[in-house]
Amino acid sequence: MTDEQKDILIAKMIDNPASLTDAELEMIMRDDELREILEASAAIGSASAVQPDYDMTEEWRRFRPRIRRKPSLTRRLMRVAAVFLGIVVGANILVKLIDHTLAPEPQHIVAKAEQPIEKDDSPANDPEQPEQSEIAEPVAPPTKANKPGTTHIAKAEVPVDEAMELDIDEYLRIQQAQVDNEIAMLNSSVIANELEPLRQMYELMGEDDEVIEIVINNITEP
Amino acid sequence: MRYSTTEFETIYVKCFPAAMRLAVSLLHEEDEARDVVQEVFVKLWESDFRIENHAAFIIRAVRNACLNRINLLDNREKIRRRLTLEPPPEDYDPDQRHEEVTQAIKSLLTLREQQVVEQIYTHGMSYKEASKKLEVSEATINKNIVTALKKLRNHFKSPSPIYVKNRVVRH
Repeated sequence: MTDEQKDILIAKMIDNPASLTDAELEMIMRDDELREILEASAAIGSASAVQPDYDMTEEWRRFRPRIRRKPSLTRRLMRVAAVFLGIVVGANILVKLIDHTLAPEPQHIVAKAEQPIEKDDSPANDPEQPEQSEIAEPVAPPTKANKPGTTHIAKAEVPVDEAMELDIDEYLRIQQAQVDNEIAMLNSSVIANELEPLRQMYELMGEDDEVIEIVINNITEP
Repeated sequence: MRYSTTEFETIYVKCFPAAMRLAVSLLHEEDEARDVVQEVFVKLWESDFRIENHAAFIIRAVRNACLNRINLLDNREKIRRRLTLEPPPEDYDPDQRHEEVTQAIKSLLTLREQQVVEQIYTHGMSYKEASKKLEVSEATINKNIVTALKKLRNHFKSPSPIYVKNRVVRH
């Protein structure tokens, strides 16, 4: 390459690098003198780069939003666990609430229990004092100090709540059993679907049914 | 052991200017340089360990980050931005380099060559703009630039000068 050619390339490098062809770029990279001139140009460029005095208050204000403390792994796991727990507890409460609302009305055992008890000991059976019994019945408080007749009424009121509780618990057990049953059915259908290609493959391979059964049993049995 | 915000602000204020000088010196673009420097500081902030010598760590990290960015550019872009083709030495000091080049320009180039270099490099003018400004032909601008670059190339090719109290002393 002549000096004149090099000067032309230098002029292009400095004034209009976009006009350099790939071949010219290649020539520059292969020529030691041109590379050194490029380095000299880079050195002037570095020395000429504007280096202002930085306002550090302003620089820190610009940088500050870029730093945010990342939560530690433990904290993140605890957050996930807390969210999961919240969802489970919330869902449980919701399910109970819905079940409780939709549950059938419990039978009024109290009403049935009151009738015979009062008939046994109530002075109302006494034909001589009919007015007293009518007054005493609603007034009698459910305390231990009451007469035997009224004490029975107080005891009979408690099982109403218990009966409701028992009804809800039983209902929940039935619901749970139904859900378990559905899950089991789904599981079996999923396993059957997943194993179907395997079964087909073994059939294609010409294996006996017995062999296929053994293989599938090996996979499905725990 | 992580830094508190106050601690980190102190480190940032102390180390940022030197890191920026280095990044600007290597990348020649202030916004990109700031981006690189801030990335390095973010990495330091997010690290789980404490570093004894922050300044050394940051300078080293900024240098590597800048060189990585330069390596991603093709040669045409490097030439356009007048970036170095060779990685600078490990102990590259932008302030010292700046002084070295400035001294060389003043001592080696003629007044006209200095004027041309100033218009082209400091003010980023094209040959056409510089020729108008200096009232000379574009050919003269080119001749001056080529001569100046060749002089500087020969100067930097020779053994590196060392600086003692702002005076150039040759081996």
